[in-house]
Amino acid sequence: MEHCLDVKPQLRLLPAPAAPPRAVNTLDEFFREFSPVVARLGLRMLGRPHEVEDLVQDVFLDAHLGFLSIRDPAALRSWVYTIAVRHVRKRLRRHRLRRFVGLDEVSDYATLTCRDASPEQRVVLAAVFRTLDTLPADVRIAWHLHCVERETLPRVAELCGCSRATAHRRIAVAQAHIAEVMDHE
Amino acid sequence: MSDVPEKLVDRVELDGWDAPRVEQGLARLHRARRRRRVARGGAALAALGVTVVGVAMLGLPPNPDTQGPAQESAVVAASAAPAAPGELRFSDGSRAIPVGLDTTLERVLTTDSEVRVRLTRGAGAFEVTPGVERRFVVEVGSLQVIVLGTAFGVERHGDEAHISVTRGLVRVRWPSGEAMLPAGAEGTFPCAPPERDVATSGALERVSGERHESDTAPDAPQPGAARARADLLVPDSDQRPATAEPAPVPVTPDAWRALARAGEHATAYEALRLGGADRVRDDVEDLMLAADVARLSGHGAEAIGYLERVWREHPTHPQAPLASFTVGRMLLSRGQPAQAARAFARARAQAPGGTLAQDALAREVEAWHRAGDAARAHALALEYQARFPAGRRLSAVRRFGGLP
Repeated sequence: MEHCLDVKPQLRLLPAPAAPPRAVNTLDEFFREFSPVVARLGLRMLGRPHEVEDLVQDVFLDAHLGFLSIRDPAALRSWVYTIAVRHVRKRLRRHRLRRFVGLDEVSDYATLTCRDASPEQRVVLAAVFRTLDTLPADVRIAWHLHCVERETLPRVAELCGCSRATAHRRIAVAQAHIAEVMDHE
Repeated sequence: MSDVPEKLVDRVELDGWDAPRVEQGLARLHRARRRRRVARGGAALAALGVTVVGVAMLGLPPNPDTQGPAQESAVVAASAAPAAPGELRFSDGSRAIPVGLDTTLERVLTTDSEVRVRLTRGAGAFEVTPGVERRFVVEVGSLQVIVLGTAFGVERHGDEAHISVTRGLVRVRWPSGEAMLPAGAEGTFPCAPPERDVATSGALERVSGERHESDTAPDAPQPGAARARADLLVPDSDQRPATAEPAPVPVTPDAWRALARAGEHATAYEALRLGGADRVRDDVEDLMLAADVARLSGHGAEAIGYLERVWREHPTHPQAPLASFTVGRMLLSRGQPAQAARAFARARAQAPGGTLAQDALAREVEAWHRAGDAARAHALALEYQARFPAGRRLSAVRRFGGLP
């Protein structure tokens, strides 16, 4: 079992630098540029394709008034990301609450489209999502941002609105839960 | 176990988040923004209305000097206030709300095909339920405001009426002309009382006898010029009585295009409908724009009509494959998978090496699967797998095509 977070700092491969983002001057350009980013993030964090479209709408309804005041395209991406994470957190909390009172519908994670995944890997993927469902939203988000989206610890702390130590602890908690499940798979 | 969970999650992909879906999302966003704006404005103005009612209940006498601006706001405010005194409500949910104590609103005619309300004095706010075939007409003297799903205010000052449109589109007709006001536009129009020998419509004639005596506005019939601050006015010169002078109204026959490009698809659709189908030129750009207007305003069947004209009449145009592909998507979502599959096949045939070819083939597999033709879906899935072994839709194609 490979862990993405160890106690000691370690070297890690960073993703290749992306092409410089295009400038956006209108809401349409803004949406066309960033809605795929939000949709992708939302799907991987929620694991529920049918909620992605609503999430994208929520994010851009919040963001449409402020995007013109941000001139730096890199900052714009980061800002949209922050809003998206906030909305994902709301949804995860709502799911958890509904699950607690027995109202949340069971999501079939085995039907997720996973690139080049074998049937066995799909089973593992579904188990991972089911485990994530049992975790508090903040723990799940911290793990996802750090381990899947490869955000740095300071950035995870910023997006989660907590200290680095708390972010580190949350990631470790999630890792421990996932490792336990993976050992059984 | 060698699978790393985060790497598996990293490989999760969203099916079908392609350009047409982004455009659909964008149109939905524009609609949601408009709804939010209206809701916020309504809430704020409802609060204002409550305050006004509270002040009135405390017995404070209204100050005539300050009533003008307050009335202007209330033209919109009243639309959110519940059951105002003298309010007219209709079975389809439409409402006509008097604004101010000196307003006289009358129900002139209510039939299955038409509702007529007359504003003889003061100001009124109107909310007309969209999507209802029944015509909603507000008469202000000789002026008629013809509505197809909108919210707007009318304020009468003697022989003039000021009209401001907050949502949708209205047609304003006065003895010397006619114009269309889209959302955000406002204008002042002549509304001298109608004379018996100048029939503006059959319906008006039917009801005029019982209603004209209540018109207490100054009676001097002075057909004047309209002063509209709208950027987009659509002319209609068919109905100009001999007694009237031509009105110097700025006109733009292509209003629907400007509205469509501004993202006001619902309004653009109404403008297009009122302007007639011949407003759409027989060129690909116009047909695609009209299709967008129809599709994004919820009139899919009409959109398919425009798109089919693109590939039938301009089969070699670079946009023809996109038109076919969009038709396929729409038919698929409308539960017509076999027709959709044929549209996707056409999109591929029109541009075999184009950027849409991969998506069209994948969609064709899905469409045949949904149509119950497993053999054809399987064969096409094999073709997809052979042509695009690392295709982004491979997993969906395998699923629909029954591949291992």
